[in-house]
Amino acid sequence: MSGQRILVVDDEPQIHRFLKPALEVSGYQVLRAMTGAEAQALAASHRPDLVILDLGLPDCDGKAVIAPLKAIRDVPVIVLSARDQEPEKVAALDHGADDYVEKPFGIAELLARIRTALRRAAPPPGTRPMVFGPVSIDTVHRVVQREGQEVHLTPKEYDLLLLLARRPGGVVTHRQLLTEVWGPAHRDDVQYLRVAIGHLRGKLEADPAEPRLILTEPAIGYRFAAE
Amino acid sequence: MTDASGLIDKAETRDPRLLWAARWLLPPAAIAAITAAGLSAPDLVGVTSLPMLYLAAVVASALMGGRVAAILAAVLAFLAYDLCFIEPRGTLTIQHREELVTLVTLVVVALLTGALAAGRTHALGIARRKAHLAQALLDVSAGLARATGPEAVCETLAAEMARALGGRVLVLLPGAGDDLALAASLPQVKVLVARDRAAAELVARQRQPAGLGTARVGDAGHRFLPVLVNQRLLAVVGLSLPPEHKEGQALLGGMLEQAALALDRAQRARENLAAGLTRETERLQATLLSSLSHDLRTPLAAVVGAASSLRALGDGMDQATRLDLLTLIEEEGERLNRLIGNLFDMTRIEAGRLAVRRDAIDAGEVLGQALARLRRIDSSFRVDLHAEPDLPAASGDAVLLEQVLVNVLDNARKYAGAPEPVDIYLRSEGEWVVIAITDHGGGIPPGELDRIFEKFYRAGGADGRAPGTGLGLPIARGFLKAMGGTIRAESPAQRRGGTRFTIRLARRGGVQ
Repeated sequence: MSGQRILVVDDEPQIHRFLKPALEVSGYQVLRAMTGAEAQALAASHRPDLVILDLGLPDCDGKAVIAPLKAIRDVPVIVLSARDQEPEKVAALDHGADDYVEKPFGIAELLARIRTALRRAAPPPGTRPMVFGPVSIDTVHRVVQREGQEVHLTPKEYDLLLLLARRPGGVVTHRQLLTEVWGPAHRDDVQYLRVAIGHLRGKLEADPAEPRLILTEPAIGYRFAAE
Repeated sequence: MTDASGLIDKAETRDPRLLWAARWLLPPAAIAAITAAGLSAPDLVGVTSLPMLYLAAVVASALMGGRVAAILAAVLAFLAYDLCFIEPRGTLTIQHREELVTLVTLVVVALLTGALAAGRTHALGIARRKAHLAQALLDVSAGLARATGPEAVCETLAAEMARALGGRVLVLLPGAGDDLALAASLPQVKVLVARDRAAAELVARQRQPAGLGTARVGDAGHRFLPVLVNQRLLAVVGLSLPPEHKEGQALLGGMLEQAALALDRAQRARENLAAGLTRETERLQATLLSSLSHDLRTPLAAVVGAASSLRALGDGMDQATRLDLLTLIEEEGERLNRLIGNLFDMTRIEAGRLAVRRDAIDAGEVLGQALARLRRIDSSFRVDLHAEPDLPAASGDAVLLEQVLVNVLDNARKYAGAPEPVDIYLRSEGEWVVIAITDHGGGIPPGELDRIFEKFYRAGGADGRAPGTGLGLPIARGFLKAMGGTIRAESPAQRRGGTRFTIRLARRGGVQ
């Protein structure tokens, strides 16, 4: 894992001042950018393995940088944002960001998110079933098992589970799930999603009232727990 | 002529003294003159031409003085002609039948012309009054159409009504509750006397005229009338000379209608504007809040991030890195403290909770303390100080002034971005102690110069500007105001740019 390059994009020098030594001590190489333009130039020339992106950039809206960064290489992007910026976070995730961390954050939390995002970025999408604790998903035969017992899912529930499971540890927004599973016409029908997630939890979670597999990100979406 | 009668009355009666003269003095004078001429110059004015002359006098009297004057002239002519020129003279006895015809003709013609002339005068008066009425209404409408705010509408209304009706005109606007506020008056008055206020308030409550010449509060100096739209009271108008004629009242009614429409329009326009302003304010506040949240959270993120990095990863870091992270925590902590201090100051200013001392202070000494504080933030900060020798003491609060100077100098430091030191001049000007702070940066665009003292305003927009809360200059202005001083910004301060802030405090013992 060490030696991977992380591009940190933030216009505040004091953020760089602690992130750079912390990431370097953790075994990453750090690239620093203060603006969106600088970030794109560095992404093109140095091909980072992960991008940490502050949404408030001096030269542009941080969200607008995500797509160009991803176009250069399908690099995981973790967004830094404030807690009171829910719409900003959702928009960033809808624009293709993989995860977000709220400022202020402890370094341990950020490092955990970085590890998850990097692991996800290099998944072995082979034919072996995906296993998450007691739950396994056999994508070839479309069979889901819990503790070895087959669980019957409707096609929509299966699609939903697969979408979440393909990004373990990452956040998928309501809109992304609705658009993919129900179609763009239903992209705002969050109620459909709530019902389906409720059913999924009932079938897969040991205690649906305290889910450990499909976690709720209030007002944003759902996160599939990476064990 | 203009004070008491006004346009409408003038059209009908002209000056009453003139009318009285035309009615009672003109006929005897004319008849006397003709009679005297007939008696003294019988060759020139023959007895046969006299009836024609008397007739002319009767017609003239009718035209000038109306029916009464015509009859008076005819009677006088009859008497004068009979007494002085018809035999036997000195008596009313008539001997010749044709002379009787002459006399009767004189009287009948006098009555007829009198009636005709009087009718013509009356018709002319009505026509004139109607023309004046139309003109006056037109003037009011035109004036009201040009007026933009409710206050301007009231001013225009008072001016036009005073011109058209004469006397004094008061316009009152309803405020909160039953309160009426004097919005305009012509000729101007400062306050409403008690009886007038009582009458006006009665009008506001009952939506009916009251005051002078009415049964309600009849002893008031003005008659008060409501200005209504759909029974909604928009204003109350007071008149010291309410019109008594039908036409005058019609004009008044028309004016009040126009006023109601204009006031309604002006109030709606203002409400729309206020709604727009509220939306703009809300949008601005959302921006400010997000900007403030960003400003507070960034140093906090640095503190939490650096501290957690030290705790989790410190063992793997070299000594220099660990020290730098500790320094970062300290610096960002201080920065947070300054931000919170600024917010606190602003809150105190806005709540009016500022305890201000008016001591004799040495501006130079306070400046020294401010500079020392700034150097703790930025050790490379340089100034060129030019202080007048024996500067008089200023009246103010040393603690507040120090904060003012720190804020203004910090602003110069952050925005000037120039290598030249900041120029500071300390001098006395008349009753003022002046501190002028000039930077050598790019200056402030003219459009933004007015806004830099606004709360949360920062040059350069929402993000990517120099760090700060956008509170430094508003606080400086708030503190100075509390100390009785002023602050002003000029840009460009010299040929190539730069900004100059001029701070004035009263000299101790000078103006307060």
